[in-house]
Amino acid sequence: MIEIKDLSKSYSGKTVLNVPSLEIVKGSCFGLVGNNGAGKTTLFSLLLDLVEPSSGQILNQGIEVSKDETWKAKTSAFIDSSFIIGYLTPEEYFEFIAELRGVDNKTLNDWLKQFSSFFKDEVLNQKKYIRDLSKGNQKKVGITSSFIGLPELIVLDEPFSNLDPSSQILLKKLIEDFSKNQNTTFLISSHDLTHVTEVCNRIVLLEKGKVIKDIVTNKATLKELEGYFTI
Amino acid sequence: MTTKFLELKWKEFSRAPQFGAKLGVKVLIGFFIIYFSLAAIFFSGISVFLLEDKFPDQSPLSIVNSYLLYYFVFAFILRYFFQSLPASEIQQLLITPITKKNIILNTILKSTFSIYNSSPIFYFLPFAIVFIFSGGPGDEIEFSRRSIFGIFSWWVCLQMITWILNNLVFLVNKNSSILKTIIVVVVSLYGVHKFDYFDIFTLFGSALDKIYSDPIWLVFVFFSLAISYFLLFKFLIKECYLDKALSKDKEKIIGQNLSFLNRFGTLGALIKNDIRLIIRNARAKQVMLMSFVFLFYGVIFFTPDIYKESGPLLVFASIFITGGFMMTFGQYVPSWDSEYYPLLMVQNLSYKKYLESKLVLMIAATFIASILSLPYLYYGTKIYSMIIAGAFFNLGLGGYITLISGVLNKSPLKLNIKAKAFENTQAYSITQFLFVLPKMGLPVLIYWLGQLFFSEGIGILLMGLSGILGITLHGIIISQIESVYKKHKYRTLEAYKTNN
Repeated sequence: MIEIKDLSKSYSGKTVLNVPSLEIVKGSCFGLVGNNGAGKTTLFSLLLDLVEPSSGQILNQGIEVSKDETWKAKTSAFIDSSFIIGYLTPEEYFEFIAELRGVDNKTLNDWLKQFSSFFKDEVLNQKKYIRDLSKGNQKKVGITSSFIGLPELIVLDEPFSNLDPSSQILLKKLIEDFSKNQNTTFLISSHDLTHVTEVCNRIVLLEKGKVIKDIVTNKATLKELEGYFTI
Repeated sequence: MTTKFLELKWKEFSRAPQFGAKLGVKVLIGFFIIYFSLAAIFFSGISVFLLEDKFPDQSPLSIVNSYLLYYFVFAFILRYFFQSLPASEIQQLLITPITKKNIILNTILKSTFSIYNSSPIFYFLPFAIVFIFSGGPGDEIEFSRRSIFGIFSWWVCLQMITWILNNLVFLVNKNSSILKTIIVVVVSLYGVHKFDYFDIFTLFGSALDKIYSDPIWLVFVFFSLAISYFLLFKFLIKECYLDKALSKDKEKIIGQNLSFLNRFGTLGALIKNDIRLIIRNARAKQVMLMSFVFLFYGVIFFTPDIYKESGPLLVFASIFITGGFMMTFGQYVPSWDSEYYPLLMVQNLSYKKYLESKLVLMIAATFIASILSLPYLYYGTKIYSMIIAGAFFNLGLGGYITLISGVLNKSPLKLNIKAKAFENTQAYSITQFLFVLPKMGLPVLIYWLGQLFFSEGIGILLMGLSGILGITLHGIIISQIESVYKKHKYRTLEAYKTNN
């Protein structure tokens, strides 16, 4: 699904990311952990062609992301608040994304029903603009929108932060469902080691832009990661 | 404490994005500020002579006074739309160990010295000075000799009224009952005026005359000012909570029913967003208001006889009339979408569609403007044909030029925050200024060449045809612009990120 070759990114001479090679297979749930400044968001931004690589390339289903834009049809992402449009209501926003992804209104509304427990009557039919929703609900809107149109690859940056505990658990279930039933590939970064080890079947640990650990998740993974992060 | 506040204010000012801009931009902005100030000072000063010339048997001061109420009412309305309580600034300080009293006092102090209250310096002080030094006979009410003390108190009075308005605006902004009272008072006063019971405007004028001839009356104005400060202070102290004066106004959802655009697919979806962007965001609403004002631009140029023979100037004005939206909204494409540009960049959405949606909006606005400008037929068919030819230019070429200038601009824009005076420069750059030249100069040049070698009619025709040429070349031009946007993608994203 994703193939990274000799990728590096530096800002004014300072290398912030350096990944010689990394492959992510289709249908996997790939977790990315690391302290602030480790390069997680940079890696995602490179993958989404939001920043230009200093060297190397990223292939998304064989397509080099910075050369050809066709990967966009099958990829979606929620990185931060710049992925939602504040002056729209959640319904209007979903409709907009659905239009861009070729999903008609009726299909969208039926499809949204599976998120009703995730939304908890706080998102839909509120007669509120997204900018007036709480941070947590804004996040739910953004995450949900990235699922619209059943993309093959979904990139989520810190999806668990700002969510209340029930929503975190529901989100884990949603990710597992999509991963299993739709064979969706997930790329998830998180500071929450428990969640990420539960939901991801492979975890990569970044430190100062380099891959330090690459683990197939097992029972001991959480302990191993906690060991690394304990100073 | 006050120095600390002033220091904060200075940092906010000196670190504002427009100061981070390149030196050229700084110089340019400085130039504009100086230019407009000087222009205001000049016109204010010269108006003494103009009035003396036109109305030799009246004092220029009392003529000005009789119109000043209009000025203050207009200023109040304008300020109502542009000025708002710096709620977020207060909010940040609330939990710091600074007393509420101090925070409020400093907020009021800062607003007192805001740029909005400087108009008496630019508009009235030069007038006052020239008035004193020009002397002149024919003053009717005790103006036999001009009193320095009198004119000084007159000026102080205007400054104090400006401050009263300042305080009223803050009171009104958060309290609709005061607003209603003011509206009722103003409307009934106007009604009384209309039915000739008494002329409120003249009354206001003679009150100001009185201040000049008998400065002791200034005491009343001073008391009113003191009361307004007191009321504002009381009000803010009482309402200084997140769910009161500092709360965000509850927003009503508007513009939900745009489903008629659904049939246009992606293009429709983008246009739907833009319409909602315009009607739901403070900054965009301001811009819409501005583009409406442009419609009246022609009146300035078409009315005086001196411009009648100057074709290029008339063309210049014509371009403005239908191009208002293009210039005010269009120049901030894609900055309007800066808050969520990354979202658009990862969507399955081509730049072409994106650009075309903006173009459609500009075309629609130009079309509407050319219909709304029908009253200009009053000035004759020549003028109106210029306006229509200008509209064609705007449609066919102006739009493209605007789109290119926008992407080179790269200043992020905060959608739902009102722009303050002189802070409109936030999304302004030297490149944009350079692009004003082709946008305004090109049609004038085309017209001028046509007029020079053939006739005025041909000049107008050529201007219109240049637009049609642009429309026929749409495919080629748009793909060129697309490549410019692509080339600037990463830098644009980077620039938008820094200020979000």
